[in-house]
Amino acid sequence: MTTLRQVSIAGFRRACAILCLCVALATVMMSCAKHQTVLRAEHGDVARQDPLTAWLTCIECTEGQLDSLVARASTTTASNGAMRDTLERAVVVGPTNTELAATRTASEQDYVSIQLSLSELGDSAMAQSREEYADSEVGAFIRLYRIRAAVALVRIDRARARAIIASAARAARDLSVRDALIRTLRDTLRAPNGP
Amino acid sequence: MRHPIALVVAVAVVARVTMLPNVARAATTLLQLEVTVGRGTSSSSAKVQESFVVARPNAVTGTTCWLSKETASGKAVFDGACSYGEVLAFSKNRGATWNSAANPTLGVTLGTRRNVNLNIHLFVEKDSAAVWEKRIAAWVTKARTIFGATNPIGLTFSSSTTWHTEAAGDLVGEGCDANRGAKASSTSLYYVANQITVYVVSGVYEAQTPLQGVKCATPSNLIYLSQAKARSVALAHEIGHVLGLHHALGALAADESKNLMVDVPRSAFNLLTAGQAVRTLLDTRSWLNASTASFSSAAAVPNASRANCDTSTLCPADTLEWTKLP
Repeated sequence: MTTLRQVSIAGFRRACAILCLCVALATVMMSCAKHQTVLRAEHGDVARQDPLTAWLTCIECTEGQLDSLVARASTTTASNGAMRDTLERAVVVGPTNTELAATRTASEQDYVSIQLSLSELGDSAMAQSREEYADSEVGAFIRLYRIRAAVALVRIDRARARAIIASAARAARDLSVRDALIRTLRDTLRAPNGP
Repeated sequence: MRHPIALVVAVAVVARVTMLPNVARAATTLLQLEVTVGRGTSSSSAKVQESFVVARPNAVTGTTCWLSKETASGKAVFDGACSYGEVLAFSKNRGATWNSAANPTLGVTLGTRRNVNLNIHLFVEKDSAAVWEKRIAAWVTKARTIFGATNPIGLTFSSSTTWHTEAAGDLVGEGCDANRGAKASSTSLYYVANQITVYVVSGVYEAQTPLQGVKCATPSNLIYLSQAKARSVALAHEIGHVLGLHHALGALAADESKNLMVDVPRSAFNLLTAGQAVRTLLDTRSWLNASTASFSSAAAVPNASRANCDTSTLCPADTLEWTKLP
């Protein structure tokens, strides 16, 4: 009996030890996953895979990129409703202050890096000042962001998009933004399924 | 720590069974390849700060063994796996150079950076032309640093910008057609065959999608950039397409790669891999290999040694990195 009891206690202890290990491991894994999510968000890795951000910032845009975004935003879930809200806000006011600040900082760093490379090459310095360069980059970023958002919004909800874009075009101080928004509106009238 | 005045050299050894003499094919033991890279002469007074060597398909077995090495001394040794054959040398601040040898030692003398003319046409109202010319100069400068300093591709760009009214932009249009062909008027008016022509127009569209820029398929040296939307990296990115590079996919598309050919670039996406550098010179579709290229006679790779890198195993993978000394 004593032996059996000792075996039983030993088994119980082993089971407890394994359970504790599992709990500890799970805790560490959850902690790591959470940490990793934060890190990925900080480094923009999540954003890279986000179809909304990809669409708003791509150079040429791959085929189907807009289709994928529209398909996701057209389903009726809370997060996709939020995506539509984000697009509407993007058309009317453009990027967030955080995005603008990040773009400006990155552009300034880029400028410094270009100047450094120019000195390595023995070439003459940039004609633009750092501020002018950053202004150009931020300006293009804003315009691209608003215009692409308008195009996506039209595909998701044409009637609502027309009202929002018309209002945004009237309020736009940047003429190139205004022209591009008007063009987007014009295209919606031309093509029944476009742009 | 690398020697501060050492050459920045990347050598891609492109041995091809069919081109090697019989003695090479008959070899039973793989030989070591020693590449000596000469500095050559250059008008640039700038010091170069790093050295690389890259290498390639096996001359004897035909198996692919692209390798990349860095050298601080101007000499790179590849053990057995990569035997002798053809060599492509790249360097920062110097032009890419091709050579071949049927013995295990090979010398490569670097040339001067190859100059590509950018024939830029700006369509904008006169009152903002000066601002735009300054911006375009910054785009060109950025391209020059990306292809000449940040990456050892050995190219430089000179540019001439011609101003036209915004209305004249209607003649060249808003991009290529659905098949990425150019409108007839866009190739008859301002296009120059032996330069890269860039139209900076108010907006660039493809299938009603607003783009930052686009490169036409025909002709392959025609680029459209959008005044409203193009960021500075767009010109260098489109030049990458002109040189035969595709969009970065897979591992190269990761943010960490900071690859120039990523279609959704963030800050300072300006890097190219050794594999991409080789493609710009080896791929038959690279405009550097086009008969219209103004420096065609000085092209780095002879016709017989070029390949379609999408289908040929003679090209390295785009993911082949520059390998630095530990």
